[in-house]
Amino acid sequence: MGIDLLPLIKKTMKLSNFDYELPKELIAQEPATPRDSSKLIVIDRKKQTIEHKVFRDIVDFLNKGDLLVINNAKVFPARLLGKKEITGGKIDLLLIEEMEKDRWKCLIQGSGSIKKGLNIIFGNNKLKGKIEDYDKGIYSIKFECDGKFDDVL
Amino acid sequence: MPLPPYIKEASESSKKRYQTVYAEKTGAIAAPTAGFHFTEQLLKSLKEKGVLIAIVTLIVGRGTFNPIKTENVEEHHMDEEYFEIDEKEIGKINNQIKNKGRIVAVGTTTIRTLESAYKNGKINQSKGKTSLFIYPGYKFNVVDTFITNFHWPKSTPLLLTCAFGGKELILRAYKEAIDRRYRFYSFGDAMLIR
Repeated sequence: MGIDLLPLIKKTMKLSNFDYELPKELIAQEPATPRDSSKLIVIDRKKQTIEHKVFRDIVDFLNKGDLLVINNAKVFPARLLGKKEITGGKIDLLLIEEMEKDRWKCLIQGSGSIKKGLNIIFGNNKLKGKIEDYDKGIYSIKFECDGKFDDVL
Repeated sequence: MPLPPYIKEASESSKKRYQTVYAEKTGAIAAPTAGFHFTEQLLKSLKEKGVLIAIVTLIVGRGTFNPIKTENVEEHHMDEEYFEIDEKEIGKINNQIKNKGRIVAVGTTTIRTLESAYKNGKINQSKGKTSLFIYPGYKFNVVDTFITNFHWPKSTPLLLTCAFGGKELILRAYKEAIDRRYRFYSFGDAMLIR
């Protein structure tokens, strides 16, 4: 007669079991400089041990032939604050999806009406946008920038 | 650059640091922060030692950050996030799987990409959307060693870390880290689980 352990395991899968108290001052407000000078806690699952190192010691824990896999995702500021080129009315724009190079779907909150053909200026004039289309609350905007789009953002 | 709301005192220079040195595929709402600890020089040292490097992309979205609102963990659903892996990188990873070599994942997003794209003994999918939510009980297919930061209480990345390292051991390590004044969250210190 087998005992079904699944309900027992499930009972332990309560969210409150994954709580801990963190003193607020331990929330890092600045990155470590240099990057690899941060601390490294090393956990060995087999030995059930915990060691304290510095991140650059990672070289000692990786061996020839190991494959290190990294995620190259880049953060971009999805929210842009701008103004209408002619009236100076404020525009709060949230980028949703890049359709093609420099052309984005976005949500816009702004003063007054936002019509097709509206020109918007961002920041220090390095970035301009023109509203090209509008459909069900989603605008499409074409950016023109002085330099590389990602860098200007 | 938009920083997480719990970072309130960031200087202009640290805002610029809110990217990995190898960041390339744009669109993420937050950085894959386990990668913050790598410098160009450190990556070079690893390569010189013979460590191989493969690149994947998971565009970090709300899925990673949405809080779990159900007391029963398994009732939580993660929002989909987009991932892709170039054919050349898939080749490197599959070669490693075939040769039973060690695969070391940097960050929860890398783990979720690898585990999402895995099917029938190898990486089978070069792009797609994943809502894979990893919590204790999950059996890892691809990753042997894991580098990550310290995560929020009751968050999906913390549950993934506990799934990988075992809840008791991980929470013991968190306690030790607090006692030793480690720095927590995005700009904080790191953890290696092997």
